[in-house]
Amino acid sequence: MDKIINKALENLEGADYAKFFEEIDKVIDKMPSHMKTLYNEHRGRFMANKEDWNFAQQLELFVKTLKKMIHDNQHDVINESNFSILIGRASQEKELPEDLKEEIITDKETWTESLKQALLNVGGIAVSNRNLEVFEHYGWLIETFLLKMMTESGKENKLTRLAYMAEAYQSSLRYLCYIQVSQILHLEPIPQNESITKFLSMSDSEYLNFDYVNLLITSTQVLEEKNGNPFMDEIMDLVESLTDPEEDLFSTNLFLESHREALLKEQIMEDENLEHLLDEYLTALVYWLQGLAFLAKYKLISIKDIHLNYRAGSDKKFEHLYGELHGVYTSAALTEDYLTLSQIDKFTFNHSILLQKGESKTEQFDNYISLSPLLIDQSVFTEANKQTPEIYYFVAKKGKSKYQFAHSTNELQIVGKENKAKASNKMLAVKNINHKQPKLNELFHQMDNLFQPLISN
Amino acid sequence: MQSPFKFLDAYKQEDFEIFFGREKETEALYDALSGVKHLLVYGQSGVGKTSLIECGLRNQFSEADWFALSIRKGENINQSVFARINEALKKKIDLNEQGFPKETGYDFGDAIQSLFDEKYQPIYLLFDQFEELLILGEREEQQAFFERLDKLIRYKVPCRVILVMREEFIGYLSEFEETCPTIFEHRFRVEKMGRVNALEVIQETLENDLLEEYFEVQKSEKLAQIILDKILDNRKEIELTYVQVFLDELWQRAKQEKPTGKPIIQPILIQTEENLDNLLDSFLKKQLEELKENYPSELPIEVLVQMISKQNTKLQVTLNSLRASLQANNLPTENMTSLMQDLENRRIIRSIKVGEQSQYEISHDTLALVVGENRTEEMKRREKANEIFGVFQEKTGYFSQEDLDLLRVYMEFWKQKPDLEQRIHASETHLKTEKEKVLAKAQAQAEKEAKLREKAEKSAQKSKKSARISIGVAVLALLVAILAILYYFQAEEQERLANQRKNQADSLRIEAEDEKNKAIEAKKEVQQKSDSLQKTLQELSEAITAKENAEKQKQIQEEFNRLQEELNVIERIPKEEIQDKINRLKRLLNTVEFEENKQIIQSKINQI
Repeated sequence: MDKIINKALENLEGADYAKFFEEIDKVIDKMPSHMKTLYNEHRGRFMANKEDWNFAQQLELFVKTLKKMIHDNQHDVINESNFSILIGRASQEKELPEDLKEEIITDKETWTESLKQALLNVGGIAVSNRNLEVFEHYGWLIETFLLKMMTESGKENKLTRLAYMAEAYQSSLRYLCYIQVSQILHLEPIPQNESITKFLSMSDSEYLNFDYVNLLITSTQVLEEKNGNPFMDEIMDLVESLTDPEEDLFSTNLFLESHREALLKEQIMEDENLEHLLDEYLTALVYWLQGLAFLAKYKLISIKDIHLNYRAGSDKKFEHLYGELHGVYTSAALTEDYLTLSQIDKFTFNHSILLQKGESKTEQFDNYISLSPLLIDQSVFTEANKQTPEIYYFVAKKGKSKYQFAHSTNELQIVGKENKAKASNKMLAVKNINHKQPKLNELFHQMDNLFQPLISN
Repeated sequence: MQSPFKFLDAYKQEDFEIFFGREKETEALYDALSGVKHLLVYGQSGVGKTSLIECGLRNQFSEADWFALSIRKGENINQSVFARINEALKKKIDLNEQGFPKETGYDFGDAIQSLFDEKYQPIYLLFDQFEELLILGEREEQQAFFERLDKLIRYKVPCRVILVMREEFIGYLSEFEETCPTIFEHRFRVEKMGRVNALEVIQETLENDLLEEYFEVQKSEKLAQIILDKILDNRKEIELTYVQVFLDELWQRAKQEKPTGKPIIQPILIQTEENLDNLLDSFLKKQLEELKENYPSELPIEVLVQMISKQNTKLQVTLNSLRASLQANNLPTENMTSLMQDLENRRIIRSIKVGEQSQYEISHDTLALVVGENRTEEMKRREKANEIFGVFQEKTGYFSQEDLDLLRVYMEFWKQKPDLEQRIHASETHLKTEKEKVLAKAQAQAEKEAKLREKAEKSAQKSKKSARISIGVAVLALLVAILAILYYFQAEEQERLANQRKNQADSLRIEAEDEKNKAIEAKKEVQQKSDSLQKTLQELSEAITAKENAEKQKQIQEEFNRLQEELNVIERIPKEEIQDKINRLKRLLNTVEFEENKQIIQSKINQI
């Protein structure tokens, strides 16, 4: 197939449109329907001699998109929703939207004001002048990198700053995906979906480049179809904007994504252009995060343990030992490491991270979903008493007897910058048998039960 | 060219590439710290605790995730914490003259919160040489620290506390377990390095590319093995400090062999009979010998001794405190700045910047121990003198003779202490007066005793006489006693007979009582029967009404009369008939109206 496409490209270079279409016709049956429609439109114009002035560029974009799809082996999950994104990715120009270009953020500290305003506008949440309070509302995975951006090394005009920003963006996508996929994993029966299968069965070398945008779009679509009332309905609006080429969010996302990819491929250098790029990237990231301000209406809770307190003649009380995840377990000074909440006849998911609607004090566990086992708190799986959370996220399946998790603080490994893997990037292997932390055995079996039907099909 | 080996310095973050053989410990330490707010790291001196933290652990965290403050006790550990945080803060905490926050209730947690708000990095408080607080701290200072620590570890700001200390002092902590109950809960012991790892460390250090510019190495494998064998031969356990010190020594020797160009480190540099046990001792002695050229001969060792504790652990001192301490011991203090610089250049001490002030300490506890062992007899006596002086200074009133005897031994060290001399003089005068008083009292006592002795002799004579009389009386008493015994036995026999008779009488009495009880029982039975009849009669009489007709009365009367007759002969009638008669009489009784008749019938019934 590659040969045919390359030949078609050669014909295109020689402005031989007839031969170009002749070549592409050979693979038309293998094209996804949306590509086929677009191809037929192009061919129709050519047959009717109604080509646009940039017809050659349009055909080139089309064929490169096709090539990329084939290359990425993703043609089987292309659909109406992600099509525009794929086309956008194939485009040469991934620039900031014009509106944003006019409002480039150059200050390394005051950008948090924009987020603060967004929290107020979208969620009606007023926060103090402390940046930490702003960051907390975005949830653990994003907050981690927003904090790093504010550190001394995060403010230097170096690739490290770009890496922190790129991971803030990537973490936000990952977080949104976990929210959507977690809901799908709780559907009965769990719908089969190629993107989700790929996500669950990816190897640990793939997770850095994994297409979370596509997973977000696909999983949102699955939820829309299977569950009319998704837990976080704001994501649907986000995905709509994300896939609409007319929206600024569409090109902002492409800008953020492509520069992250370029950074990974060592295509960005620490030169005189870097400072401007860093400002542009910050502008794009702030715009992107403003669009995610709805996350502040939810909060993450780590359930350490649930005990049943029940005697004859009494109610069944389920004592929940939990911590709210705001940088640490809670933001206020307390005498105990964990909080307790008792519920009559109701219990949540044990050893899990919950996402609960509402940002105020937890009085009841209701209106929540469990993000585990995609997101876990390692501290609840240890035998020893722990005092702070250690948040890991799922990245890969390794063979038949191991699932791999990455620490939430892991930074982007810039290839070539460091010869060896970053010692500070920590992975957690959840194996069939875990001698150091036997409680992880239970997690392994939970994952196997949940993932295996999707992976093996 | 400087030696590339660490000698007595700890490995730092930037030494990660040459920090070999401690991967497992580093990972274990990272795991131990994961998810906890405080960790106690302990181990023997020279085991590499500081290197493991400042190089191994440090590199497990990215730049953005680690902001560490190394804190030493200083004057007061609580002040030191605030001072170190304040150094790192842009917006300073308002501290009072004593170095504590002016704001009431402002604690470690608040200070850390301020720091986190500025740095956005998790804060790590590293308390190196933590035993200083336990050995040298005031009780109040220690208590306050553990109270503040307990609050801090519950404070929900990303901050972790690492207490690093020598394991022989770990027992001191139990005193504060009540104040900070989790102090032992999260701990990590740094073990000595195993043989395989040590060999790897030596070999990789010798062959490392990064050190290539400093020396050439020949037969590195053999060399590593010889060094390891030397260390094992002498110490049985591997001390990393000695490995680094010895490598440094080899480099110095190689440099001496080849003053220009790259020194060549090779097995030939090691002497067969070389004893590594004295490596640091030889190093120190050599340095001190060289320093004699520029300074009074004992001054360098005197200075170093002022920089160690009684337990031979290193202390942090300022130049001023060092001068004061030397002056107090009547030692010269000229050229101190230059001497400190020399000692630092020779890697015996290191300077540390604490705020605006420079402090000095001996490079390593292992060397501090060697310094301690090099104290002269004079120094030991002076230390003892100071110790004794400290004890006696606290003592009030006059000294005893034993005190004075002890003090006189060390008088040569107290020429500069006139107060003490005055007190000694006063005590001597006081003792002399006291002795005279005692002597006079003793003489008076002796006279008194002589009189008493005379009196006693007289009394003794009298006593002899009395004794003779007493013997006569005693014989008489004996006779009386024998007679009394005889009478006693007679009385016993009489008592036995009396008891026998009494028992007989008791038996008769019991029989009589039985008879009596039987009679009472019979009487009771008759009485019960009588009562029963009485009751029946009463019921009969109540049943009879006054309205019965005369005829019936008459018939009754006749019947009565007849019965009257019958009654007269009743005693001859058998029992069944008697009963019948009674029944009939009762029936009659029920029917009679007149009281007199009733009485007659009743009496008859009774009679029957």
